Amino acid sequence: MGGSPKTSNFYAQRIVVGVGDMTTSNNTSVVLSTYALGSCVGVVAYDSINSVGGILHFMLPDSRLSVEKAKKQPSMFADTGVKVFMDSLAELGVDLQRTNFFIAGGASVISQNTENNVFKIGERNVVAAKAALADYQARILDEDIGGFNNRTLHLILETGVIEVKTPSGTKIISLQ
Amino acid sequence: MITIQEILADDKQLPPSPQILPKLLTILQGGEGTSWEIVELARVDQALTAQVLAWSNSAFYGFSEPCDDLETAISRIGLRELYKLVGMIISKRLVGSKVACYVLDEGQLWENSIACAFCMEILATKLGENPSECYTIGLLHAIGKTVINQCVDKEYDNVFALIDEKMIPLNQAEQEVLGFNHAQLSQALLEKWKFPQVISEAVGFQYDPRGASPKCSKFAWMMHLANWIAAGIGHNPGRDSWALDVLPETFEKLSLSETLLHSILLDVHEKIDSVKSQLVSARV
Repeated sequence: MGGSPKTSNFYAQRIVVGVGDMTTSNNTSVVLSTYALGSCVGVVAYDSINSVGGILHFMLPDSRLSVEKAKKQPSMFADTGVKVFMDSLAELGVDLQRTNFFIAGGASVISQNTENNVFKIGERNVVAAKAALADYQARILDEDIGGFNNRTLHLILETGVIEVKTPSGTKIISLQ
Repeated sequence: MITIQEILADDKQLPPSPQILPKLLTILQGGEGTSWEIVELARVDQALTAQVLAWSNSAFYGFSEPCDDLETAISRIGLRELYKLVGMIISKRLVGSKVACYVLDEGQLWENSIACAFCMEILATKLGENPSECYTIGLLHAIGKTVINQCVDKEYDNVFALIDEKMIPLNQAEQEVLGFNHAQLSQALLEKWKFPQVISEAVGFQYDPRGASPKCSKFAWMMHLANWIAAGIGHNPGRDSWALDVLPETFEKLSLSETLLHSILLDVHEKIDSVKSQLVSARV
């Protein structure tokens, strides 16, 4: 029966990761999805040996803005978000040495005012994500950042494949 | 090329007038009305009345006893809250459908309108302005998009081609291709519907508040910023999500700091999250 769908695909369950949220899983019949990544950044991790993965969707670069909010919802910020994301991956037995990461998002306004950096929060989110991941020596295999489109991400845990959807089309990336 | 005047002259192409909103706003602002007058206004629309009751009975307000008439609902939730709810219901009728030329699925433009309404309300609170008026500006800021979707066909593809080619904001690309932009069309429509000048002009000048009259200027700057905030928290879906510019003097005009802006982003996100599930449960 070459080419026929696997049984698990019939039961694929979608877990939606909202803004300022994160999810990790080792259930291979699950698809993790996050929608409307604009200036926010999505960090995707996948350990191909034990098929564990996750998505973090953070909104702002720095938790010092609101310590109280960061305590309540650490995934809202790059620094605290990456930390809880890494802790959660570790709880599922992820080995960082063999884990691939992908980052997406960080869209910015089309601005003719180049000095207008305050509103280019997307770029700062990307910088913050990379800095936080560097602290863990995480390997960023690929990225789809910047531009002026929102993105939607789907991580298929069975295969480690990511679908990146924008209004102009779909891109497929493998974290195997 | 069709003009704004030609579009407005053809009533069949236009959404139904949300007459109740400016009337309610007048009552709310002037304090001239009574709950009885509001009940009379709302009663002519049974679907609206049913949705108001469903919402006021929802867990969001946390009342143990359900109410089955508008008078009780108003006394429980208050006039301002009632206005917001009526605004949400009416705006869903106006902008709730699919808006194909902006690549917006059913409900997505409404989601953006609600997000901008809450942005405006929170900005108004921070900046000492009237929250109901500002809420209305956000709610109706993109009404022109649905009309463009009705009146402009394949020609609209040239707008996105131009954005991709020249990397210019949506309003500029629309101006070049259509001869007007959706904000100007929204303004004309709100004027036709007799909304207060502050509302129609703030909507019309949302992309370039420098052109607004002194009376309306601050509201136009607020709406200018609200568009960016909505995009920043992921509530500006569609093909043009980030095809917008923010003028560098926005901070100065509104006396805002970057830290305050970030905290407003968090506040708006939290507010929308708290309302979203209730919108679903009350079937608004």
